[in-house]
Amino acid sequence: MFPYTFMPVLNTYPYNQDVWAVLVVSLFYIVIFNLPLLFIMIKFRGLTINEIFDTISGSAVGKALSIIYVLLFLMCYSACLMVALQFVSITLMPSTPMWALLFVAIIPITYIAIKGAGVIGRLATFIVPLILITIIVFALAGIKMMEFDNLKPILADSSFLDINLGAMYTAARFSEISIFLVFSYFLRKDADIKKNYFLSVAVFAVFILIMVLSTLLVLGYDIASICYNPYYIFTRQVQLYESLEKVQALNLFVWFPGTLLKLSIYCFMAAFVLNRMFKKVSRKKFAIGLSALVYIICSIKIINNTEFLQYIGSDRFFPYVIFAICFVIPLILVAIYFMRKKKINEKLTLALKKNNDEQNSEASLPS
Amino acid sequence: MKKMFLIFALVVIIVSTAGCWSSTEVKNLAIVSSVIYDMDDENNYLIKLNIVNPSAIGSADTGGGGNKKAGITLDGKGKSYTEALNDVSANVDRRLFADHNKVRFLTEKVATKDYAVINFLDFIMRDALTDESALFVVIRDEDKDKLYNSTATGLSNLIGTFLDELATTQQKYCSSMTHITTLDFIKANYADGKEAVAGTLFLEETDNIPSQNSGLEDQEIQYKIVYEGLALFKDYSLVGYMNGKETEIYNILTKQAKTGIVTIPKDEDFAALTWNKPKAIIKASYNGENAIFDIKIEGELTIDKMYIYNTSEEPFSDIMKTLKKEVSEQMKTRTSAAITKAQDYGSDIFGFGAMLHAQNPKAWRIIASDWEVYFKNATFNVECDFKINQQGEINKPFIK
Repeated sequence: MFPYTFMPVLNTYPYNQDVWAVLVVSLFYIVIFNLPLLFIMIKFRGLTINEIFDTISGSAVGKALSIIYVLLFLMCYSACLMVALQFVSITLMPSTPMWALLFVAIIPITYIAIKGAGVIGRLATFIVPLILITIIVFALAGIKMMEFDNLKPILADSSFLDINLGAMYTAARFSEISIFLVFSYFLRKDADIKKNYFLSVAVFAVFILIMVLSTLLVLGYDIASICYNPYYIFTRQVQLYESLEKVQALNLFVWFPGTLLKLSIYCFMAAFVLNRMFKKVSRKKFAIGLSALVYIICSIKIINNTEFLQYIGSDRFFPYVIFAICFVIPLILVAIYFMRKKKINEKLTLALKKNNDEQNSEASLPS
Repeated sequence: MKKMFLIFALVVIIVSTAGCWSSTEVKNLAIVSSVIYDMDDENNYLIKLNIVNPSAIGSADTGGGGNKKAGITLDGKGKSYTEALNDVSANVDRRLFADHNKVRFLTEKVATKDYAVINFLDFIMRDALTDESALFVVIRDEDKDKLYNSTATGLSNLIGTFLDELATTQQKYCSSMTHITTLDFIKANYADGKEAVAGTLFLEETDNIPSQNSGLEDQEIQYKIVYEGLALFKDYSLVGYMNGKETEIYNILTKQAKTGIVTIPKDEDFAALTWNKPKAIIKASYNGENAIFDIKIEGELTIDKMYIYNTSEEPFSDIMKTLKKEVSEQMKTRTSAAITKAQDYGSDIFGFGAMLHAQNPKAWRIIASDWEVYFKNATFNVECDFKINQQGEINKPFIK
């Protein structure tokens, strides 16, 4: 929902009409940057994120890594919430105070996070198709307004280096692999992680590309790159025949639930990892506590303002954080795995056995 | 108990979160139909809002509305447009609501003043409720006080609706006007190698135009709107106008024209033809010194009126050939004249620079920073080729 809201690809190298090509090339880098975590997910399937870290790097370092991931989820939760609510505040509800917007957003987010992975999955099967349908509807309805000259000259103003640099920055923002890491634990045993991963990357790529192209073709690069929510501005231009005006409401109708769903995923993941670290405190309590913390963070005016959010969302901050946490750390873990393969495999077998035993004992409990 | 609480919570949420903090009932809104943005000699920003008058709107059956005017006009003044709007708000008993604004009029004074247009765009792009889809029209200074008074608005009640309907219905049938939205204007101002244009209108005195406007008797109508031509901008400033015929060429070269009429005089008579589906193929190149544009305009012609006098001895096929040639010649002359006019103003409204950029990016990199000079000295080779596809429908049998 981050790219859906402010399309960071528009403000990266090469800073011109070729940014759609950056998006295409970034797929290659996304896969490269995700390979270490993908390997870990496949190799350590059946273990939670905490157990994976503990198994590879030992208990102390494992806990530290878990904390780093919790901080990442917390950062994504609060930053994404602030970006979304700043948009609501600037464009849609300028008179509604931020505390009320936060309140209305955080309650459903926390509720969904408390309900757990199953509810998140079921909500996603309802909300995500709606989002995808509206993207297609807006693209088709906007065809009449699209000027293909907006993309010209194609790839003439950008160097190979610029395109690749832009693609690397774009790929480095892709934090969704961390969601895969946490949720792979909940996947059905017959589900293929690789297949699901590539399918979701393909869906992401196709639909983000449709969104970026629609926006560029209607607004042009110069205007799109200065909008807070370029896709919304694009949808504001679309009319469905003469009788249906202001159809951007359709965009908001799916954007807001989609954003809440994404935020609830971050809330759930942070609570889940903390719960696995400190088993005495329930996930529900962590979810409520984290949401309260995010509410406080988002209420601080020096943080929740457009200038600070522009910095957070820019290429100067976000890609480096995600790159370090979702690529560098997993790469080191993979290296450790290969260095201590035999020992780690033994620990892995034990951990899997323990998990199986726990699951079997839970299954045999009288209902 | 838990279920009851959830149901109660849901009801509370539905009732209390069904709108934004500043939600206002429709009956309490002052819906803006169009706005005139102006300035005075002391650099104060002036705003004139044409507001929908709900009490004048009634159904045909009930005859509600009576003789009230469909729109009322409110004025505001301030050091910025926001202050001018606040000035209006202070004297209106409803909440101003600009989301349904149809037209933004800019007076010549604002359009020609340094930084005034850029200030205006800054205001438009920052405001939460301004919509980019409103038409963008420049009006003569002398017309600003007449526009909302005593002006015929066809079958519409308000100027804003009238122009919006024109843009919707006439785009297919008339190429002598431009329907530039605020977004189009902003885009052109931001684009490289293209200058912005805006629609333009002027008021013409008229007697006895029947009016459908609520509250306006026939005798009150003194002006009719002539909505044709375009206003040329250069670096956010109005530099000149093009008339309806020149605007047709603008629309052809920017691929927005659908149809138009051309007359070919001969002796005391003339032939009238409609051109359709014009297609402009423009090839841009750079020879190291100048930019060169080879323009080829193709289109189809339909005969609307044929010569009646002094042509009876000439074979019909020869007349057709001559007509075709003369139309092509006339269109070529008009195209060259329109381009020369834009060159004289130094305003590349056709986007030749953008075309050169698209077709020859290397050359563009060399000349982009001096494009105004290159545009003024650019060479344009115009060629027109119109074909007569239909000879008319009524006065010649299909098989003779």
